[in-house]
Amino acid sequence: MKPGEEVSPEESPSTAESSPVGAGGAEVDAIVVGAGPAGSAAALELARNGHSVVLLERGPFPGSKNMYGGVIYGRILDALVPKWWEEAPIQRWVTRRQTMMLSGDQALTIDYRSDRWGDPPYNGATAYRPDFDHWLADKAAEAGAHLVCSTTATGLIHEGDQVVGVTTDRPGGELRAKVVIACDGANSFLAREAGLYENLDPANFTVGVKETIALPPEVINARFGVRGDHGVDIKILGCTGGVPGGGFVYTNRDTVSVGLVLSLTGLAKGDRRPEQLLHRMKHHPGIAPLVEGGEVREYSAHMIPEGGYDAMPELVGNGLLVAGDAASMCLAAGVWLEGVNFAIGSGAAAGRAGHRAIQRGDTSAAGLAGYRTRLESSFVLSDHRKLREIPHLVMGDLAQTRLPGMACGVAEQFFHVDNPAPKPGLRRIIRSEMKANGVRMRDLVRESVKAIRGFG
Amino acid sequence: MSGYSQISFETRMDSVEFRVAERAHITVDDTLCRDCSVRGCITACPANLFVPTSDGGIVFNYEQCFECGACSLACNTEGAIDWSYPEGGHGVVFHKT
Amino acid sequence: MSSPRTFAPPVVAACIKWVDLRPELDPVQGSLAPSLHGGGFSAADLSAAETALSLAQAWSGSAVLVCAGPANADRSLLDVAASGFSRTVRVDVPGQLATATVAELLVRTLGQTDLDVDLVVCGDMSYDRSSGAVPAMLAHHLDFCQALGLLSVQPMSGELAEKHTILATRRLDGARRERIKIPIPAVISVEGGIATLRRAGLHASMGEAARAEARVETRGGHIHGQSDPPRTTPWRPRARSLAGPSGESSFDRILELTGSLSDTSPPRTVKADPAEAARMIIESLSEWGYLGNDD
Repeated sequence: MKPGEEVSPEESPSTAESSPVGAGGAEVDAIVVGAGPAGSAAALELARNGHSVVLLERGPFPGSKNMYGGVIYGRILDALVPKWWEEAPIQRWVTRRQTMMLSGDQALTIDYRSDRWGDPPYNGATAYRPDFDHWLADKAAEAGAHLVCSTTATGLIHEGDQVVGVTTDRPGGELRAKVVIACDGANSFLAREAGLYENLDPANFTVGVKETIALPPEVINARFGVRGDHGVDIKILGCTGGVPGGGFVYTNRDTVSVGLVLSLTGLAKGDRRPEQLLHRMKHHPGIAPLVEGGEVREYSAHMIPEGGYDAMPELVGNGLLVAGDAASMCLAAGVWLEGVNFAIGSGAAAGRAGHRAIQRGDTSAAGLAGYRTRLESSFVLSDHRKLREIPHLVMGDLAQTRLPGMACGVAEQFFHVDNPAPKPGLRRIIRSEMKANGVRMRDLVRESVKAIRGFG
Repeated sequence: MSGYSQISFETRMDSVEFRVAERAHITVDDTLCRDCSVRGCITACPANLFVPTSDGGIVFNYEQCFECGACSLACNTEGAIDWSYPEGGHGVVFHKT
Repeated sequence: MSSPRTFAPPVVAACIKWVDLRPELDPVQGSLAPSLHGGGFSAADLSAAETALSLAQAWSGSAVLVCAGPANADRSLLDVAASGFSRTVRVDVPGQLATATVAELLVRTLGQTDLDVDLVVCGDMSYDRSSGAVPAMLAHHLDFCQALGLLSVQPMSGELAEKHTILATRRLDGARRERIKIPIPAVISVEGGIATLRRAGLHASMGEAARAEARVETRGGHIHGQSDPPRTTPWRPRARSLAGPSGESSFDRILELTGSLSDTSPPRTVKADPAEAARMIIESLSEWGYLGNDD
């Protein structure tokens, strides 16, 4: 069929229907668009506070459109689902965190492990998002939210400058509510339509690609040096083929996920495609022994809003709140790559702010302003504000290629025994490696100062 | 180097479930592509949906779209790529990500 | 086949089966494990649902949805139900049961007087390597006429319209088609490509989601049936029976089997221009019986 050809809308009388409530009247208290972690948390909060909530999901089930680069930090769930760890569909508990720098055929790894992270209340967990998001959405549904899947929200309904509902792609698909919470993911169509995302810049986005590779659990345990349901999360700097970004490897029960996060603008400018870069990284001697020999169970890709604090859209409009990826809540600050926890945190805050505003009968931007205050006082925006410089630092050329090269070079010279030649001094090694990798002292000092300030 | 070779792009995409909708959710005005020097969509699309033609145009598919939106953000020619979400219930369905 | 009740607004039942659309195949053992989120209905079943809806609409009758499946089928079942079915019944079929058992369970529901079904529309095949024989068994048990593997289904117009007769197309060998008139009561099965299930309205879907448990009636359950015996051989087309050689001596019979001395037209090489060559090819093909006589 020709692209763009319109399929005529369904006109049968049995499905065409009119809203039960006349124009202007809200049929439900709140509409949450997107049943990801943010949306489900928002719907859960609203439903628990006794409001009628419709949770719209465009996939056939919650989580069917979602993928990520690794780890869920679940402590934010404590308030929403007590003892969540006993029921959440978790693959492995992360007890080993590594940061790996790759350059050429060299690898330098910082490796931390603690078995305490393998006991309640845990630290990080790996999970399949279709399982996890489905579980969380079911929690919202159990609390009374109406989960409606296979329904794409196509736009907002305005009355004056107030958002009063959404249009969907179903027949008779207009739905009106007192407040709309847009958790519609990285592309934030609703925030864009509402004019809240005027600072949208492709440079703030990365593309994540990932392979889920099947391996027997005992092979995974042996390769990654863990036991039972303990797992490993590795973040990788370097080896992205000149495209700014980073990589990750983490373990599930019987699969290993390996992927890359690549700057969208870098990718668009370059001449190599994501799967070629991923293949290249999988062949790096530091990575290959971990992932080789398994069958690729699923390939996936997703957009990541990585710009941090300064790239966020306006979070509050008249009758509209924006949360999760739609609000660019992913924290991509080098050693920290987090998103699900920020999504749940922002979603829950949006749900509470929506609840208060509905209670008071004022869902204008002023009535909803509590959302931003809540976020500012919680980790969601305070972490983002504190780390606002880091995304640019990490995506910069120094951190991307020259630093991994230099670090690996220093380690090589430091550990390499070249008898009968005597050991070179550390200062000389660093100086020569800085020169070899084109790292100038003033750049290094400047970036280090930024980093120290940035990481606070 | 390790002894396993790259899987073909087809094998890679075969691992993913797509419930293809009848309506294409991507449209490309490729008259604009002829003047585009960047053509970021070709390398940025993780599903390799955009292919340049010898006469300077772009042919595209929509069936195996991951729905990431990279194409429309990477497209520096205003409006050449029109991308939206596919019809509800259709498109990519992840299972193990 | 004309009974007086056919003139009342007919009840059309779509009879579908919940299957795992994406089971996980163990590459070494060849065993199938159920997927967590892959449940749903085959394209043929969805096309049956749409066919049932549009026939019921054309006849101003009602459409009911009957589904064979386990309890976790309810969510996807309600998605289909929201498209306009007045009633939804799930016949509880936990796991794989033998075809005859599934058919028997379905008949118990379809044959009930409170449903009073006049036409049953099935998909022509499901994705779970079943035999595809359920529609025929339904027709047998219900004593309805049957027409299976249909390519198009339309309500007839004119004087047959009020008798609720269907005009359908069915495949024949040799890429030919036949058009048939089907009086109700009947069981028909349709191919997947012939219709796309209409989307349910937003408010209908919301209603279904809200009343999930109330909307699905569960029937069946306890029957002495078992699953089909495990297969030890691969799935292959059924063998075709051919008459044995009839010669007197073993030599004659071998000659007959191998066709060594029988009169066959020897291969020939001809030179011809394209149009002439095409004509000769078509001539030969129809001589050998590959094309219909009318071609």
